[in-house]
Amino acid sequence: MYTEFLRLLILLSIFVSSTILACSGSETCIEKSSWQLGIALGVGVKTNPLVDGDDLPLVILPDIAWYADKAYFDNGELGYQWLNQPKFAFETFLTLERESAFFRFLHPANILAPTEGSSGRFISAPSDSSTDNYPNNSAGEPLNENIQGPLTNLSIDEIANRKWAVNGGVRGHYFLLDGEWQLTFQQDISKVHKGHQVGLEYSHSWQWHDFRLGLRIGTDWKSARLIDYYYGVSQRDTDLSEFYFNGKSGWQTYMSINAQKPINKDWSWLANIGYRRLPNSLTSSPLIDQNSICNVFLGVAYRF
Amino acid sequence: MELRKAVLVAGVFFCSSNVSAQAPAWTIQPNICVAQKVGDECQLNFSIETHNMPSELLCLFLDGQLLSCSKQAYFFKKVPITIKQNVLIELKNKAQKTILSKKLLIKYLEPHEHRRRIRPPWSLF
Repeated sequence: MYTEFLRLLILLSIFVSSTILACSGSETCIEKSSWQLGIALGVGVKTNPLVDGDDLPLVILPDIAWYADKAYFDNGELGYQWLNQPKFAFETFLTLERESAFFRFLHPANILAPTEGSSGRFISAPSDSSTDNYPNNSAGEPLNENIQGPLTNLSIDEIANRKWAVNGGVRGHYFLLDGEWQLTFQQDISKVHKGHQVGLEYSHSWQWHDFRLGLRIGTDWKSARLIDYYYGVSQRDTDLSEFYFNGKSGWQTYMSINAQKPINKDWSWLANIGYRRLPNSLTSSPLIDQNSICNVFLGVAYRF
Repeated sequence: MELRKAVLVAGVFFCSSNVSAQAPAWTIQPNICVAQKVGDECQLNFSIETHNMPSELLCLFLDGQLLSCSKQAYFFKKVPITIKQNVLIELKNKAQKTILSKKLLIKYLEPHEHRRRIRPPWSLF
């Protein structure tokens, strides 16, 4: 009984304590009411699992963050942290659904060197104008008539647009000495697909002198509505019923490693490598021709 | 004898011209205000000691706001101000020409607070 009371007391003292974990001013910490801006230049790529989806060339990586006492903006996520304690933190946030980026990422051709990473198209362009009997794509253009190979995959160039969705989310953190657990729930509040997702992540960091190594491993469960909106195929995309596909919910596990070593006060070496496994409920879609997403980046980062 | 006179006259001339050419100067003490933390107000009572001021009415401005005026900038009393950030103090004449200026600084006992970033920097997933 006494020990239970003591435990409760310790737990309460953690919650009511106003002491906030001291930050050393390293990469993972930011001065309150200030911007943290950085840009990394290098070579890298993020693969696109979609049929005819261009891989995303990683030449410039921006890092933009602003933190006030409670509110924050961090690389596209706008949020408010209700609780920030040494052991626990909790916030609510708004962010763009990243799934749609694979369908129409803005080709930064003026700044970045484009990388062609698309696989061969399963449906080629029409060779003549006799296309009256063929279905149209979202742009009103006729689909091809020269079908090469099996009707299993469908190019993203031939389907209806997938809109950006805005997610509202809540996230809880549990901090360890060099590690952290995160539990996140996100719901589409823009009513684009009305789906939701839950994520569990563990991250760990090691530091040897000024060399920093970070590991993240996690899993995201995405609802059937979310998967079906982006990866399902229906009459909105094509009249060819052979392609129709209903997306189902599924788990996506991922792992990433990040390494950073300062060169001087402003510059540092930066390396990122990541892997995300896509579930069968998604890879069975005719829009998908890879069962994973990989990214790799090696370059130098500058902190303003 | 003539040489002595010439040297004396020259000496007086150069000395007087040297005095008249000396630029106005001032000393403001203290010129740093210490607050507890960022955002706190800081009260500063500073004194002004002036040298070689022109014999005209001069006025003291704090970030463009008039504080007080005095002939030849004789400010006998300490000037009390409250600041929340670094401020510029200026001495201007009637023609609004700045004769002297100095920045009064604010420092904090508690350094800037830091907090953890929620998303890892440079992350792609």
